[in-house]
Amino acid sequence: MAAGIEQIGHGIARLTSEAERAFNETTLRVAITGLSRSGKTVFITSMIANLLALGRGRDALPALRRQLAATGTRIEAVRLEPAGTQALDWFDAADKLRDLAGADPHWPPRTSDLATVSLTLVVARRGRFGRWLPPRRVRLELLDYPGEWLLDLPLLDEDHAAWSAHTLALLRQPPRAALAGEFLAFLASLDAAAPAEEAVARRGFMLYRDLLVALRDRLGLRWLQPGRFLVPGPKGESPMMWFFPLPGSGAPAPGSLRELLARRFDAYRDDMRRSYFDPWFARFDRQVVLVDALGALCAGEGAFEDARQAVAQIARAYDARSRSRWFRLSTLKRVAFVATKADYVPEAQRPAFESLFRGMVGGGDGGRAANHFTLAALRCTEEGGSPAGEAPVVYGVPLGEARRRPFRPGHVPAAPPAPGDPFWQRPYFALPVFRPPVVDPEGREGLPNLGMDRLLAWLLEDAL
Amino acid sequence: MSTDPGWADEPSRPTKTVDPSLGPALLEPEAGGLIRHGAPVDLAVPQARAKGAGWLASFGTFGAAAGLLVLGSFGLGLGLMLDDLFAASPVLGWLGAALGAGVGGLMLVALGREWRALRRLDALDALAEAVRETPDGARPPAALLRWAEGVARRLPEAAAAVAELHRAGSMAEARGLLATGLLPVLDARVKAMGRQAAAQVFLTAAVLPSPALDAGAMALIGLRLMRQVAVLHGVRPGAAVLWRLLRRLALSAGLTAGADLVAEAGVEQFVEGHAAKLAGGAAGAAVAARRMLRLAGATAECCRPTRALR
Repeated sequence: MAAGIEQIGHGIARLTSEAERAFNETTLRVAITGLSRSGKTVFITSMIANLLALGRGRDALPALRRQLAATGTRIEAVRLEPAGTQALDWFDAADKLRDLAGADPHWPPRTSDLATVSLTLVVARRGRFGRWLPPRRVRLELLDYPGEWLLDLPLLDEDHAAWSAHTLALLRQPPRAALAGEFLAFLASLDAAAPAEEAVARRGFMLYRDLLVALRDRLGLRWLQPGRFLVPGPKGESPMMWFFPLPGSGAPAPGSLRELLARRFDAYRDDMRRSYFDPWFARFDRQVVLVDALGALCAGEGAFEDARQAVAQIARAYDARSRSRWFRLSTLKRVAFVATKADYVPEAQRPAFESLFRGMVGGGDGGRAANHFTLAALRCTEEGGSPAGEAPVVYGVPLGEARRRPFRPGHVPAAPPAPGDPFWQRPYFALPVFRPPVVDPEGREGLPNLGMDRLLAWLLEDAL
Repeated sequence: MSTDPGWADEPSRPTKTVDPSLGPALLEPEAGGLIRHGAPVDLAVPQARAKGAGWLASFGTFGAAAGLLVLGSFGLGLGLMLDDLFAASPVLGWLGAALGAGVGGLMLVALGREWRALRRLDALDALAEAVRETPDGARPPAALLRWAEGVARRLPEAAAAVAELHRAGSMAEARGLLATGLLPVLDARVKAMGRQAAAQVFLTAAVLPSPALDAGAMALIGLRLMRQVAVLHGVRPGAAVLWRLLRRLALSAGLTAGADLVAEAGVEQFVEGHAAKLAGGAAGAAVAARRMLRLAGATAECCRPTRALR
């Protein structure tokens, strides 16, 4: 009898709690997407730190605060959700902050697995009767993951033959062709109907993987598939990954090397779909696409075009995966294309940088559902005066040094230079890595940034 | 060097013309140390200034005028009375003076206690602010631990949770331990108090013959419940403190809560239909009893430094 009453009590409590959540809580799944080293981890850390600071009454996001004030809305508190029962890693923002603000400040290491975090914004209700009602809660679910894996998203709709054809076509063109010689020579040595041979498959895989690493590290390229060849993740390397692009058309003969590689390609694709994309990369409400546009511009025509292609492909793949099954309606209400490292560009050149970025990725619609921003999630430079007639500079302290040095990004065109433009004659230049600024290790004041407030004000405009 | 704080979005300026052939470069080191940006503005500053009006603001101008009138009348009346008594007999005069001094002294003591009670509530508010301000990675504020120790002295069953709280290495841990250890123990005691008051209200409403008397009894039991809950949380329950708590409760969303209210109304309708019959048809008795439970919960929420965490 007592147990029955207790059960009814629990049932009523659960019902009340669910009703309360339905009435007061909105959940937004925000996809923070970007190629490797585009700054996803620092972006999420800064977003969390600045929203928490806003919740503590700091004017860390002025544009968001102004927008809220204009609509009569007020954020009462911001808190990080407890980890719950999730199977994924928990994104430890405090740990990342310690990396950035410790005695020996450094950028967080390369992300090697999925990690998630939820943030709750407690928002006071508007209107005459708003004060008598409980505040609304807006939950932001954020996901961090290795940017390399994102490149596998377009693979989901391909088979081994199609993937091999366009991958090899790319490898034969500059700038990839300069480093692809050894791998292409290996392919040339293989017979079209070669039998399945484990040692050959493994050697091909290793040559191809080394080539991808070289293209990433030496040429600054980002459109490199499959992504797990570069960051294997917690599962490490497994035999299903021992494949590489091999030319050939039509159905592969049973027992042939092509057939073995195609089977492994299918297994890899299905594993990525099952383990990562289906559970974690679908049904997003908002998307932020981070692009290191300045890095690509400085790296040269090949890297710039490569980054542009990659962003376009990823945006297309995301759009396709965010559509409902029946009517193909998109659940993505807002997509923000964001050029990171805006603090490397002097203030006078930032309008041109934003215009260049808009021309580079396209896809804007005047800010209704897609918009472009330039942003520095953690501002690690200061504006500097430059003598009359000289190019403007910013000041930063390179990592490992103690004195500040001027950085000149050079000419930043307002539109992407055409292929073959003399602009591309400039030599390859890798952006310097600046030391993070001195910040409070507890993140009490948020993180100094550029443009994070404008981005969040637009991204969350209709939800707050 | 620019003194831009590094937080605000900056106004756009026209692009400076740069030689198109000029490439990127990291130039030679110059004077100047690490990069530091200023801290963002504290949005709470205007509120803090308003708070400077002090605890007298609780009474309002009307309360201050009424207090002045009472005290002034008492002083003038006492003066006239002493004058008459001394005129009649010096002994009576001195006895009257002693009586007046005694009453005045007691009033001063009472005022002192009110003042101390309000100071205690202010300290609790400051602690709530500190708890809200302290980042997850920082050490928990010492005042929070002192508050928890005070609770453990009044509530021995909370001693284990408080001892654990002392071992918390960070504010995140302290928040977790508060939520899972100390607050549930406090909640259980608050609920017990609320249930006791609810039973009293239910029986009183069933027995008393007039709705006006019902209301009076409910108010008394409610105020007593608020005092009990406040004491449990280390708040001295003076009249001014109760007045301030009542004002907070009136503004608190804890008593009226959207979907929660709808669900509660359903439960109340169900309970009243059956329980009112048992209480001899005392209309509203069950609802009033349930409201005591909610009053206890809402008062407890107002008396905790953790209210910003919920």
